[in-house]
Amino acid sequence: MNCPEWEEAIALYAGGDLDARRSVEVERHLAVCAGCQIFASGIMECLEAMKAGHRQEISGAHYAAVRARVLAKLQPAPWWRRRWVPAAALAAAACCAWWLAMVNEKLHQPVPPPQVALARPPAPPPAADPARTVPALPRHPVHPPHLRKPITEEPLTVRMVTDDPNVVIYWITNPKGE
Amino acid sequence: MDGPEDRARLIAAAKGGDLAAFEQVIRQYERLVLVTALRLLGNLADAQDASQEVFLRLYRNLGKVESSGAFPSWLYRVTVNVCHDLRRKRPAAAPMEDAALAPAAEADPQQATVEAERRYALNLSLRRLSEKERAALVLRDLEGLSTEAVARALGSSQATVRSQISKARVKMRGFMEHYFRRRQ
Repeated sequence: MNCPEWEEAIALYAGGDLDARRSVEVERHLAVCAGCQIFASGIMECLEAMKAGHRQEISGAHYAAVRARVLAKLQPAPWWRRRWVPAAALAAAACCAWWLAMVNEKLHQPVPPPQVALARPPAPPPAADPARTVPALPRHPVHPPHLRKPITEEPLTVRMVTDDPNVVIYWITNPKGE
Repeated sequence: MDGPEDRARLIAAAKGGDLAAFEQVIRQYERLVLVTALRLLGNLADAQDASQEVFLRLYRNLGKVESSGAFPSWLYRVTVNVCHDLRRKRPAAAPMEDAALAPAAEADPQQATVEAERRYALNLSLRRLSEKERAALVLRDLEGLSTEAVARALGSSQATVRSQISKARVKMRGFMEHYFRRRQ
């Protein structure tokens, strides 16, 4: 059984972490305490085993893998992978959609009737003599009723063909359908 | 090619975006980072993830590191922190012999089995320690840093580190004794 009050000092002594004065004190105690000797040798053995167990080397491929991963993360990304690209693409898409909506709205607007400029004849100069004023002639000549052409009412003939080539029906009527 | 001047030149080039120079920096320190991470985490896949994160942090902090003047100490500190973060995120798997490690050249198969079992028990005992105790033990006893360097890397006082190291050693010894007594 070792002495608990010496444990910390012995543990430090085993790893060479005590100054010379304190080391001498521990050595004096170890010389007279068998339990602490066993305790000290156990710690030293543990430390040796731990160092031996971790002396194994890691294969170079594992270092290379880490290196490659780090450098890949640090490579500048191609332009289409940069952070601003999705935002810019979204903004461009929104602009296009807005423009299309505007064009569509314009296409479907009701077309206003064409503005026709009314050509008015200039106002006649003030007549000096109202008795001599000539009435304005209408643009299109208006014929008196006796000069108008009489409307000829020719009979309307409707020919109806039946399935039988020997039978043809003629329907003769006036234009009013009487 | 490992002197402070070379390192400063490489870091200055890397800071300017020269990835070839940064690759040289990685090559100089990859062993330190990956082996420490493996000792802290106990499996190679996690250790590789941790190493990747450490070097990415290094790249982002090249200016600060260059001016700090304690490059390896900075790397140890970041490695320990990244391993702590990774451990919190991923539940610890059972310790096992990592296939990535080259097997020890034991002539006697029985001796090889004994050695393998001892390594297994040691890894198990390392996992039983608290994060800080394990970090202190790994840096002091496996990486061979001085107590002062360990304290700098862990951001603790030397007295605290000494206490952590001694507790870790006592716990490991107790665990190993208990493990092999039960096996007999």
